[in-house]
Amino acid sequence: MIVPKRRQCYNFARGCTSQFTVMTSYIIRRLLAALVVIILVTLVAFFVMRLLPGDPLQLYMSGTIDLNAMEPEKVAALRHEFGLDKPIWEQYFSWVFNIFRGDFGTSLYYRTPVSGIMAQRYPVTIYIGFLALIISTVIGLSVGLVAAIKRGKWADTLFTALAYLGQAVPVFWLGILMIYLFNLQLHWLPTSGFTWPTQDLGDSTRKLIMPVLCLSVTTLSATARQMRSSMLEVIRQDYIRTAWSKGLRERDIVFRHALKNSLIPVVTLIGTFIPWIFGGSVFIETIFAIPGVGRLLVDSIVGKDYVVVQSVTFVIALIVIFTNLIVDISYRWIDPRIKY
Amino acid sequence: MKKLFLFTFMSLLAVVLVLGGCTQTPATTSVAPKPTATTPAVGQPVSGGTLLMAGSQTPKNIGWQPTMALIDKTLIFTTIAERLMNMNTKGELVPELATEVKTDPAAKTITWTLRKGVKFHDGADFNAKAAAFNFQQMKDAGVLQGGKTIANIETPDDYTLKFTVTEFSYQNVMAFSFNVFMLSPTLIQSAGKDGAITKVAGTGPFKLEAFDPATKVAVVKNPGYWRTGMPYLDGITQLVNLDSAVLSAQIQSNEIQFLTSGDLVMQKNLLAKGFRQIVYTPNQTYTFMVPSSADSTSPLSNPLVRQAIEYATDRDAICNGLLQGTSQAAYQMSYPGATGYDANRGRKYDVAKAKQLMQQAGYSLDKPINITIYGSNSKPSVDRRTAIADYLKAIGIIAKVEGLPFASYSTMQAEGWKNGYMDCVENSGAVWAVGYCNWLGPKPTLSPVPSLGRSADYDAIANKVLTASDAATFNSLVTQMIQKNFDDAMTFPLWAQGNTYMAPSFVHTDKAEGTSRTFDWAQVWMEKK
Repeated sequence: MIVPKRRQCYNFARGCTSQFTVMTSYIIRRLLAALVVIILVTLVAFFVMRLLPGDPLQLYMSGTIDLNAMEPEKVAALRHEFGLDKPIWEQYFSWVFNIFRGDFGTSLYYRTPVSGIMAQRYPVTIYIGFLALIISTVIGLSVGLVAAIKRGKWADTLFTALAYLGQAVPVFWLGILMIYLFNLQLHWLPTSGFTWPTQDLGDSTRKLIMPVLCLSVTTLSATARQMRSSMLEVIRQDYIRTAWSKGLRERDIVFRHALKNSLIPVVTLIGTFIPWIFGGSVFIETIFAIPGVGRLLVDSIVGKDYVVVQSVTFVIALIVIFTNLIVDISYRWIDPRIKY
Repeated sequence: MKKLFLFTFMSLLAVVLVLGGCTQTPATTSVAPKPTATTPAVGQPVSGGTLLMAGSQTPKNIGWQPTMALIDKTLIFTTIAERLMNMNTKGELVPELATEVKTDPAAKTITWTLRKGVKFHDGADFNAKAAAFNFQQMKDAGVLQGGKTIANIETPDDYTLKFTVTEFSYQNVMAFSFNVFMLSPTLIQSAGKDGAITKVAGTGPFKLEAFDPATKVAVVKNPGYWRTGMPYLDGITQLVNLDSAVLSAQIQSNEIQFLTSGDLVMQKNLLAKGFRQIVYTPNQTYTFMVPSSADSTSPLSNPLVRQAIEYATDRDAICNGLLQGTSQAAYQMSYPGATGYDANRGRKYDVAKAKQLMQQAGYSLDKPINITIYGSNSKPSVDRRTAIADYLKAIGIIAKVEGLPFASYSTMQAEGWKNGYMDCVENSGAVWAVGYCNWLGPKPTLSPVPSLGRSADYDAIANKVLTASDAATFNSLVTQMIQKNFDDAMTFPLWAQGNTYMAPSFVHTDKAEGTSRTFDWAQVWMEKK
């Protein structure tokens, strides 16, 4: 049946509008759900610290050598300064209101705005996280591809074994092992520290090799396994068999026809790694003394700086929620077959 | 076949990695570089070099004294700032920024004569006004020990600082002289409260070069330091790393030359590799337990039971075993060299004696009594108290060990506890007499420990401390208090522990440690490599 062009345009426009409406309603639903999650996160982040036994101010003040000599009126003034003399619900709403104004409060320990501290630490975490993501993606895809193409051969066996190992090995243990090997025994790399590449590229590279490799091992292994699995599935398809029968070169078959389709689940997987970047790797940053968000969280928990703990927890949760939303929405562009 | 190969390969790889990770480093692995042939003989300090140190914490506040935490005032801060008086190993005040301190108990005045020619790192003069500023700042913030007794702070001339107090106490003289650091008012006033947290100008042998609380603190030599010829080092940089294994690797690969972590196992391993253990602050920490003896219904109100508990606990074994020999067992509320110590005094481990005392008190093994030992929930603290509880089983006491979160622990210490002991730690270490009075003096400032029963005789001696006019009288009264404490088995002394750090052999600290209660960074030097 021949459909008139006008009808074709009309149908296309209606289809687009329909898709747009569906997409919009999907996004709105997800945003509403995200809002509920955010509220729950603020409640947990705020009240968990408050529900711990003891006065939060006491926790902070007990670290000062002259706490014993502090006069009660000074204690009261300090309590007022931190807003701890208000009812708990007032403190909560005040905190939430301030957060949405960009005021995360003042760190009890650092005595500086938390937003400033996070602004210093997040770039470090993001930089290392993205390096790890790039390395794990590039190597993971390559390894998975080779393993799938060379299925049954020694390369496949080796890469598969390494991928399993990579996912099983504890990251912190691997970090310490690498320090033992590359620093203590071989004296090739420094144990820890962080330098921006703009300050000293050589020093920065040397310091980042071990932490970035440790951070990328798990995601690299997962990417490699997923890539192998989806590639094996794709190359069994009829159209690939047809391409072989037509006599196309292996390179063309793999890279032009098979790879794109096999990337769909892999990209999905990589998308789930993005929130992990913003969360920071506590283990890696602790072992390698990297001044990122993960270590800030550990320092703050140990130092009982509840203002920083609740703020960082909130920001991480927020980033995870919104990156998941963006990744979910982006599936539609990756695979047009997906409908919401 | 392929599956078998895969399985075998993975198993072998796993075994290799586990063995590689678990194998102890042999003693012959890399240690700090040995001195070269051109190095001068050991004992002759040489100038030069930047010392890198690392530990699990860096200070978060380097310049606003009223809100400085304990950790902020140790290590690197002590290279920058100094006090009016220092303390020798006997606990006596010795000159530092003040050449002498005079007291007049009748007139209730304390007068310091300040050292001339000393400058702050920002070029401002150290004088009476600067000293007065620092005391006033602490007093206004309500954190100056004894600050409430200060009626007036005067500066009759540029190098005389005079306090008029409402009630004279030698304990406060010591606290004023030793507890307040002299920082430049010029910088504090220009930086303001928030700015001063990251900036500081003291009078010490080193001045601040860089401060990043997340990563490092760096100080460099103060060329105008008032002790000529010092410091020997060009600078000191304090780094931070939370992991003990990494810190150990850093010092072994010479990335750092001074390790400030107190991890006992790591220190023991490093000692075996030829590193030195440095006593940074002798007897910095004194651990003891306070019974709920004020409660007449508690078995601990009976002095015979308290004595029995002391006899039943082998403190030497705990110090040598659990504490790896880093602590010295205490059998009285003092330690060798400190005020009130008597080498002939002590209830050493004797289970038979303990059982006898329990029988005299009317208790027997057939009817065990129950108590609780309260303390913090940190693993080392719980382990120590568990060891004590084990010893007490032998004399019919079932002691439950309760680990409390920090805030609850502090609150319970201040508000009281029932039928048990409270684990207490005196951290000042500098002057034992002052430290003792913080807890058990006439007006305890650290914690009132209200559950402790105190006899009228004891309080009679303690109250005299309030009017002690000089060091000799003060120390004499504290000695009497310590003796009475022992006679009444008032508290349960456990052990004294200094802060010990590690360094390779080419870092010389022999003149820096052991001469005073504080570590003298100006006298640290490194051999040229």
